[in-house]
Amino acid sequence: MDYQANRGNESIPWPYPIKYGVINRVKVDVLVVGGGLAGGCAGIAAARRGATVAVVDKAPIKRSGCGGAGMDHYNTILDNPKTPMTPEENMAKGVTIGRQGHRDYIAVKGAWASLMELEKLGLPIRDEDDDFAGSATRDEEMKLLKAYDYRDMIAVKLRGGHYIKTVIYDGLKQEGVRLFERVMITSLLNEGGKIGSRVVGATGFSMETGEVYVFEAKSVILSTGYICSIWTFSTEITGNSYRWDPNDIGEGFAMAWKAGAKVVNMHKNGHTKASHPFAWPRFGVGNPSNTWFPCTIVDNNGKEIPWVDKNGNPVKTVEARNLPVEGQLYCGSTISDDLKGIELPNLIADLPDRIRSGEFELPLWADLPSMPEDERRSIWGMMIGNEGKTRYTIYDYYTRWGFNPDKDMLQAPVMSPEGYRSGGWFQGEPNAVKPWRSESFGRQGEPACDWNLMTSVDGLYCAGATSGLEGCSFACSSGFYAGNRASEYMRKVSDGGIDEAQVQAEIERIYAPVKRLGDTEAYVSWKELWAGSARVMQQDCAENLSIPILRHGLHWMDSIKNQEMQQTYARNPHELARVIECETRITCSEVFLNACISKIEAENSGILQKDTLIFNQLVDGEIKTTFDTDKYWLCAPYAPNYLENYNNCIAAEREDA
Amino acid sequence: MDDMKQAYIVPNPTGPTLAVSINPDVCVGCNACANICRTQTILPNPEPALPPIIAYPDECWYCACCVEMCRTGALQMQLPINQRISYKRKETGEVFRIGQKDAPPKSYFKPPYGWL
Repeated sequence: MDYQANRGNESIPWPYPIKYGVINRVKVDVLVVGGGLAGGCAGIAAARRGATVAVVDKAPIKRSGCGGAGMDHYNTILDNPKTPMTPEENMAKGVTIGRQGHRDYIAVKGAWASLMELEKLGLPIRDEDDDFAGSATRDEEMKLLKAYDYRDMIAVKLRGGHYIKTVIYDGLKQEGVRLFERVMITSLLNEGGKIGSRVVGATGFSMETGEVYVFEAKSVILSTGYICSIWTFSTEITGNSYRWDPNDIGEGFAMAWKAGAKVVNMHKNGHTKASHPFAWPRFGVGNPSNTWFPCTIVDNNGKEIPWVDKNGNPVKTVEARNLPVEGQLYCGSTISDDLKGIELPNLIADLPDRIRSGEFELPLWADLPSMPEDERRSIWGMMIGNEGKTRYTIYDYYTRWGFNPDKDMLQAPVMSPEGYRSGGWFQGEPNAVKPWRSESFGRQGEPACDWNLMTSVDGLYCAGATSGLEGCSFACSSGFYAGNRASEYMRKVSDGGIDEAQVQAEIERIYAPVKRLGDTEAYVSWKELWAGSARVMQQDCAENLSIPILRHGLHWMDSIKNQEMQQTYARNPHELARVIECETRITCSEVFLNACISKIEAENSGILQKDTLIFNQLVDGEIKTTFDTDKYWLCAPYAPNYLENYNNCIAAEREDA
Repeated sequence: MDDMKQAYIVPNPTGPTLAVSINPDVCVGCNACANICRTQTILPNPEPALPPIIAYPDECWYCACCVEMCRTGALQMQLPINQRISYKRKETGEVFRIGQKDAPPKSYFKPPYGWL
């Protein structure tokens, strides 16, 4: 094989015809921006309710999005017939302050129904071949394979989860949805060009030909994932460990902000562990959690690391690792379910100390050969065989290089002992990066939404991680829900008026990087621009937050925006997309910086209480900050309980059915 | 040694240098891999029927959708060196590295659901 075919770095002609300046007009009822799990389900739902729909994605929709390469299990299906608790009980018990409870409820309430819908679309979810007949993981009656908790049904392993996106893709085609692939949406259009007025369309361009698309629509759904890669510049040798689809930049968020949508809690800090340059292939190292739960871990001398339950009592058998303790409601992933008291059995909590004392010797190894046959096949087969990015890159690749789960133990990365306390160890050394910012589970802030998942801009909806609802089950259920609501809205409104001046201004912005002349005007690459804005955030929006530092950051970012960003070049439509993504990162960064200032100002003035939610919004070019209390979604004009609000919102859907 | 008399100025390579490899002897130039790639890491060859170009290996997410789409088996993922972890054969204590030249031969493959 000639591995060196591309060694010369020669210039190769762009393989697609270049059509800069060509403008295509498309008119639909509902436009979906981002065609991953959430956007795909939204498109199907909207089309089924009678709307003409376009789904636009930067990538080929058959496999696009975080879940595009597959999914191992489906979480928090609390509306299933065998649930130990209802979605309403879940809301009464849990939900951390600051998370948007109405959104969580909408996602949980529809999760089981969304799984049933996916099955109807053709997704194999049951153990039809009886591979796991008689195993504790299997519900014999329903032939569903329970994940984590084998007593209760809270999450299920997806028998054919690798195909979750392809069945949605087929569903979109079946419903006659128009698909625009490798088209990058760059901005939303407000009615009459007035920021904050109802949304009437969007602009975009082709990443193959560079031609422009102007979409006219009565409602728009944003499903472009989280805001990612703001703090960390990481292109090279990191894609394998990067959790989120690299197409997730925060475009939906940035364009909602620029269209005047209210955003909530953008000041929140967390960690950046899931996406930094020191990680390992996701799910591709020995570890005891998530896709690998409940794999036995041994030290370098083969000594088994003991397991304990949530109360610290020893868990003596492999079987018991999947069972709740007596009196426990259920056991599951506290990360996705956000509910105290459901903690799974885990390795001993004092493992770091016992590694330090020499009782356990590194490196640690995942002892698959010692696991019962069905559990070994569940981890190295069902889960690794279906989870995104692992079917070929781990399952096939490792096997090809001799790894045999019946005989071999997979290494866990060597890291400081604290790193073994929790989580998937593929994140690698926990001290390698600063705890900059969370990119998961609704802890980074998002556009504010009402009970219809509509933002404060009329006709503009959010679904999936763009609305803080992460994971395949929440993506799909919120997608179906938003598609239905957007379709209902579309029936009530007339065509909107696109402002051609707004379109022209955006076309100017899009094409600026390809028009700049080399040598003198444009010598900055998109990578350098990304690294530059990330440095501002690492310095001025990280651990040491103060108003002077944040203002310094804003000043610095503004300077980059007006100087180096204007010197960034694009030599083809691919690079053009990457440059525009950097501009999106800068917009998102400015929102984060400003939100942190809002938070400190609110603290200083005594407005901020523990349960205060902070909203920011662009009004007449100025940032307006407002506050509300936790659970505003159960206050007037809304009904005082979750179920009633939900039923009000889906009433029309039920009538149609 | 005649071919060692010439050198060229070329831009630095990216890391990873490959991400995915295409065997030109097996590739039929159908571009199915390029057409599924979410990051345009693989682009069609401007010359029809020739193997696609691994244009941006530094942007690869390692989802391997390209490998799956290839009907002739011309594509293989190539993990970067710093992503190749070890495994230990339990009975003998021998340690091998993923991708190691003298790794044991493939001795296991039970296809997950739907594997063709």
